[in-house]
Amino acid sequence: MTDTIETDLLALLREATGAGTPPGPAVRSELLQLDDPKTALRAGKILEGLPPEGGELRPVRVGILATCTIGSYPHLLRTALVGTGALPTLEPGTYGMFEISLATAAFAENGDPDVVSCLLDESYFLPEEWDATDVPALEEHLATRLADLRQLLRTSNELSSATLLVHTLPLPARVGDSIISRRARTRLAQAWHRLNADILALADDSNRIEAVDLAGALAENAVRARDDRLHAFGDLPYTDGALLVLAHEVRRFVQAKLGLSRKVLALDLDNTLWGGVLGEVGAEGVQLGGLYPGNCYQRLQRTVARLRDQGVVLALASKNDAEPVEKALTEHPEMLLRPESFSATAVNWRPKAGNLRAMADSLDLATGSFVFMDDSPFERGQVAAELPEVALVPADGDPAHLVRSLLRDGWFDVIELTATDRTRPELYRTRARRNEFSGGFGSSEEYLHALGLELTAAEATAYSVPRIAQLAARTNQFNLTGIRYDEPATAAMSTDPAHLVAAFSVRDRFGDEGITGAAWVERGADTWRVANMVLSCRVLGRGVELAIAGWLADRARTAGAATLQGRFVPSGRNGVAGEFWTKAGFTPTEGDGVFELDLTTGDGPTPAWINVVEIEGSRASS
Amino acid sequence: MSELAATRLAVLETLGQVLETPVDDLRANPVLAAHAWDSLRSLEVLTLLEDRLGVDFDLRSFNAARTVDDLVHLIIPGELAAHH
Repeated sequence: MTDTIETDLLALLREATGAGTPPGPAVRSELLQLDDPKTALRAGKILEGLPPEGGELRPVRVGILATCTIGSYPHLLRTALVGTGALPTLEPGTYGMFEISLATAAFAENGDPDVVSCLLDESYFLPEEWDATDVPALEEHLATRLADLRQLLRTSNELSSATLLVHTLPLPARVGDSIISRRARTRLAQAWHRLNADILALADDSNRIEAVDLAGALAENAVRARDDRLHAFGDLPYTDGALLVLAHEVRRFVQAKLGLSRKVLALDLDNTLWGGVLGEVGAEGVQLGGLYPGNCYQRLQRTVARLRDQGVVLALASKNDAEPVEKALTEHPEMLLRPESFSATAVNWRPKAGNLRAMADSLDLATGSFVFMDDSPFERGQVAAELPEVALVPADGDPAHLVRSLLRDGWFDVIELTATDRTRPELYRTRARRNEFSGGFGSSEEYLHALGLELTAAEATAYSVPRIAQLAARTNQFNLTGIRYDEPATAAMSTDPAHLVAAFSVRDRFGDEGITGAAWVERGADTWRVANMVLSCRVLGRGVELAIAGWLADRARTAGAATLQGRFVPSGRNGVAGEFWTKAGFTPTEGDGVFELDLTTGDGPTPAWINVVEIEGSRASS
Repeated sequence: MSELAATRLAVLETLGQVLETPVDDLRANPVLAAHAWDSLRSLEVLTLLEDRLGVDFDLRSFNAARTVDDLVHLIIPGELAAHH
């Protein structure tokens, strides 16, 4: 990136911050691409002036603890987090207080942050003095310090709701190279790798401990990681370049935790998924497979297929005639992505922004959940101008970089893959067929009856809690109160007798959508209160939400409650759910946004076309 | 612009950016301690200047600098001396 662009970017940031508005998607995308720590640092300082209310940015509180001087890390982290669409409030801890802060969970003055990023350096693990002829003793010390850290994290977990984030560390050359025995040095390297493996395994202890692999990321990113002068003078063990690498690893976690990751990958064909222009060279002439550069395109296809296997929905956005594309995708022997790999297709000569919008409509997904990869700066520019919320991946330049370009921002990261994630591409293909089916009916109710809809309601289990938490993080439209119960909170409520957490699955004649809805309910003796209810936009428009309200009413009534109470809190994005409670027969009360259903009279709101099935020991009704 | 003038401008701009002080104020009062010069900011200035000018400071000399000209002097000692 040139100085001019950097200056332009910083000027835009100053302007936005001065006006009290968060930077828009185009500027955020540039922030994400910044790999120059100097500019990222300046950007982070400017962004410190952002107001605490973020508009479309998702607020997140991040505490920072360090075994060394924190230095530029908060500013670099702020740049990365704003780049991904978060509005961070950063709360750095006090120098020299790493252990005591963890032991007392004293992270911030006003309540627990969402995440505490721990900046670790080797001083925590290595003794001041050690014997180069006795590496086993050093190994033992490393194991003891790791056990100390594990205990601190556990204590912190018990005292606070924050998710603690640790990272692996590079072995300093001044340590390894001070051992002259090759055998002993190799043994120390083994011990250090084991330490890093054990740091990563800390995440297995608790779902509120996460680990990122800084040592691995530093090996991939050619940055100078250390400056001995800064280390000796300022207890700054890492350069700003290394801290920016860490900031992006942490950013990827926060992005996934906040549900800011993307669901759809829209791909161009010519010079993106294969080399050459199909219309000019024919299917036999495109570069795909074999030697360079064909192997680069095939490697990209293999990577894209791997993303699809993990639930990324693929869409095709190509300016081509449809028939030769279909033929090439079907018949080319080296093709790894076939027509059925794509859940939506737009192969025509119309502008790509419009095509992306149309595909988003057909998938019932927002264009903000799209990543678009294309080799043409013109096409990317057109999409950027019309749909700035779409994340762009450039595919021009040497095709050897294609896979790295696609993966570097971690756009599709999730905390944990759920069964629903994996089947998502097929679900979305099914949806397209369902939309075609709907054309043949006189009324929508007739169509809904013919769909054979079935809602399965089940209390949350250890297996469904991750998916329920993911729905809470990702659902913006049908999200009644905006409260995003994360996995630990959902797990705790699901085993608490005073609460009910339920998961709702939907299926019809075309297939099973999996868990697409969830509700968090407080079970009072007389009144049940719905703390929040979310429903994936995939299943809206079929009355499923009414059936969920019907099931909740049924459960509350059976438990002896007289009233079911719900709330609606407008978020600016959940307008689609604004009328939900009244449509479900609830009456507004004097409380702001509070609605009630009298359970002593009348039937529930379950539509006649939905069969409700309850599993886990309760009756099924229809 | 002479190499000396260009270097002085680079030092002033870098100091201005890190210390969040107008360059004119630094010219008017070139004593670093008169501005927000602390250890962390001094290290930021060090890395920025090294990156911008392709130099490599000895931290002892860098820490001994008290004024803007002291920093310029570290980068091109001969020329600055000739102008004094």
